[in-house]
Amino acid sequence: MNLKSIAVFFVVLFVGMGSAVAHHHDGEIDEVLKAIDVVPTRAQLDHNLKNAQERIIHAMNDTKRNEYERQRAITLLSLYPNQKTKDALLEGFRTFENPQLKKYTIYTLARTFGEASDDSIRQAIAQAKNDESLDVRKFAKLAEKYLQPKTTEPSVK
Amino acid sequence: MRSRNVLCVLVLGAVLSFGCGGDDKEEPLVVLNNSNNVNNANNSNNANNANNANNANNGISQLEVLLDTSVTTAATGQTQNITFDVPEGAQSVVVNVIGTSPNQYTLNSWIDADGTQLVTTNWVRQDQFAPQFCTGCLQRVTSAVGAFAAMAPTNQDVELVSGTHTIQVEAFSVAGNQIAGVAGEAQILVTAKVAPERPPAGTIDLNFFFTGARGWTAETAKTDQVFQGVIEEVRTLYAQVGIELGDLAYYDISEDYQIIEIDQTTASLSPLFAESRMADNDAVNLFFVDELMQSGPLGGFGVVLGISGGIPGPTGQVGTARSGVAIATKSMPGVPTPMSKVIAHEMGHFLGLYHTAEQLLPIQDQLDDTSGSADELMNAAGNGDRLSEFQGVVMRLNPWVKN
Ligand SMILES: [Zn+2]
Repeated sequence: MNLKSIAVFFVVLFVGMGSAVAHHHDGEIDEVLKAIDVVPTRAQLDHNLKNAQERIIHAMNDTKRNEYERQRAITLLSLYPNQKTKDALLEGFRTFENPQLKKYTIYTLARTFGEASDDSIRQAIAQAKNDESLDVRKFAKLAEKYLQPKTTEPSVK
Repeated sequence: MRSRNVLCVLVLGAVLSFGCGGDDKEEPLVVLNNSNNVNNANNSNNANNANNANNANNGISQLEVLLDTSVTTAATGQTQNITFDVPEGAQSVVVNVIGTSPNQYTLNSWIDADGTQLVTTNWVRQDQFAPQFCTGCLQRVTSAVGAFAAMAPTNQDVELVSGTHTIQVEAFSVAGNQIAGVAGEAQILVTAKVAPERPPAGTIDLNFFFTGARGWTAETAKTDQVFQGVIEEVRTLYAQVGIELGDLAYYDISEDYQIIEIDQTTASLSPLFAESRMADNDAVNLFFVDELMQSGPLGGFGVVLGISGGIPGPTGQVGTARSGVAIATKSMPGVPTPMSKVIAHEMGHFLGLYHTAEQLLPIQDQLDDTSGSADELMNAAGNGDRLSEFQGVVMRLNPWVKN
């Protein structure tokens, strides 16, 4: 058993202990939020992190976290296309002042719920198209295409 | 089968999403026959001379083409046995498979001249982490949409022996949990890096492609202090394993590529990488965009800072759907990893390095001298500095690094 195996064992052990202890700052999902080129599956998150979705929502709203981690949290909610995600993202859209967070809430809503998006999502996107931030307006436009029936056209030619 | 449910990685998530549009199908394959590495007879070309001029170990290694042919996969997805002769003195071999998106490609097997299975036969249907990783293979390989590369050795346990090697290529598609073979054609390019010993040093040339993200263009980036500072830091990171940055070329591409969304219906990453066809030199392509949104292998997506065209990426060719590395340049407060490390990390993948330890998965790289600790450059957070001795060996064995 080499050092690496031991390290992995402990990582698995700690992660396995799940959220037995409630942290204000949830260190256990740091790894997921700080990753630079990995998108996990829902199964991996649920297997390794107890109450993964709730903890991602908590991270998204955690003002102590940096912008990248919060963006990761917002976008990874796409792995959970359910009411809880919809409510959290709509609430984020209403309350986030930082356009870099705001733009990902509407984009993630559209990309996650797609054609099945309801009026509340469609209204949020319509509102975002008139946002004062150019970035938010740009992402609202990107978001809009996910509301349309699926196409095989590439976004960039 | 536990299969890929459990696993999904990174870069390979990227790979999974290459298959989205018909846009992949027409991308040209450019084999750089005029590079010194591929064709020694042509060593008077300019790129070549420039490379050599920068090369600390000028000319100790040569690239030899061992096989350049088209092959047919049967309805099972597999080709018949394909053989090539690895010459004496070969330090590394790369098998490139250029196929058609959205099919995925890998090697179904690789057996060396001594009968050792470098790649376990039928791993795609048997390995716990298939089709992303063959964790049970002596020589770990991945699979990829459209274009695929495998290099040996990328760990200390593989001994590259000379003589006749036998491979089978596999083309497949994935629906649900099922892997289905795909009949069709693919191009195979096998090269060997031949040298008297494993190269102790090398030089890598880079092509930079600018979308206007962060205000950088081919013109401004040449003198932009931030950009040049980032490249200097990459230079320092790679110097620890004896790799110098050689020729740096600057290109502009459309600002339509500033935001890269990768999903099943809008594949803007493949056309981005295919833009590398405009640069006909033998260099690794780096694409500077604003933001990258990577699809997950089994749905969902997430913001990422970088994407590599493979582990390793295709070698000896540009203009394919996987010919490069994309970097998100949007400056964000508290971004966990500085851009220089993201570049060095993604280029590490492109040259053949795996994460030292995968996230949420019990998978480590195959190297004895890495630990998965946070101070390593190839940690999944990419926030460390350190490259191990054998990581350096792997990088220097890659054909993109000239020795
Ligand atoms: Zn990585």
